[in-house]
Amino acid sequence: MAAPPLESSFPQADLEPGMQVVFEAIDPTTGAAVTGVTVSAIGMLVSGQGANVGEGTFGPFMLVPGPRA
Amino acid sequence: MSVPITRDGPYAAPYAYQLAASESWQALTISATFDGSGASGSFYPCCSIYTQDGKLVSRDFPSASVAAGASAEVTYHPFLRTATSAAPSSGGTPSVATFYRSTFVAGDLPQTIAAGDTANLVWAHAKLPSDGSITGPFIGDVYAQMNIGCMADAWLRVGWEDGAYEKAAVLGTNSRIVPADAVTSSSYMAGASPLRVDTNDWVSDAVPAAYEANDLLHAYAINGDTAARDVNEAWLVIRVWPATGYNGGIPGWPQ
Repeated sequence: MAAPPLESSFPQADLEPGMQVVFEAIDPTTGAAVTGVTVSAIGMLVSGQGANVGEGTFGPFMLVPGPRA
Repeated sequence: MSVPITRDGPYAAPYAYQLAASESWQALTISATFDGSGASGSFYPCCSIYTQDGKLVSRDFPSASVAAGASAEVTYHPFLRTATSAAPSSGGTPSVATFYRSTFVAGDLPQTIAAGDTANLVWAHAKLPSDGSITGPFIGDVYAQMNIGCMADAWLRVGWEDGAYEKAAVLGTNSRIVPADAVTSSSYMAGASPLRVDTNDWVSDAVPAAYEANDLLHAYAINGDTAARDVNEAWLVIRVWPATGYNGGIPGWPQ
């Protein structure tokens, strides 16, 4: 699939256990999720310490706010 | 230590990576391809960060959205400052035209202006831009024509026969920014003056201008003397910056 390349910024932030990096399609006007979009060729080059870097899990997780949300 | 984390896909968006227990890192760069061939509408291809309890703390996306049915390969970098998509409406290098007559440079005969007369300057030569934005001279070799909507400036410099008499050189145009046909004073220097550097009395005029396609510009000389006087040198330089869609209203100067 040919797709034009685009660029975006991304925060320089320490991501901690349990946090999620989510690839999502958002309506430019309403901010709502846009259905029917797929994501592929995901590549993340990350810098971290310890043996667990890269041991996280991919998936369509439910994003449910916790009790202090 | 840098570690690659990859998935081929495709997966339905939203799709997430959740850091494992005891896993901590910073992203050096992230890339993903968004396929919107089945999208319900246009969208921003986002890479977002959520806390452990599902709170959104960051959502990053390119400046351009992706149309429904289209796709995009997006790279996310720290410290990237995305360029704005809108280019200056009329920036860049201007097109330049020079109209002139010159006894000194080209060996032209002087243009004689009758006593008390106002006469259009007749351009013996023209150097025109290759893009056709400025053409001429037309109508007795007097008028320059702008062929595009544009922001512009025009500069006139005229060398009169030396002498203590009133003289002027004037740009006549529909400037659309400031009034045209403004008569400026002459610059006669007596023979003993250290400011006298040649035998011409120079007069200048300049206007910031904006033009619609087919607007005309001319320049003229006014001889305030009771005797005929010669214009030995006359140079008109016009610079234009394209301003697509300019409709003749009062414009802003190029941003």
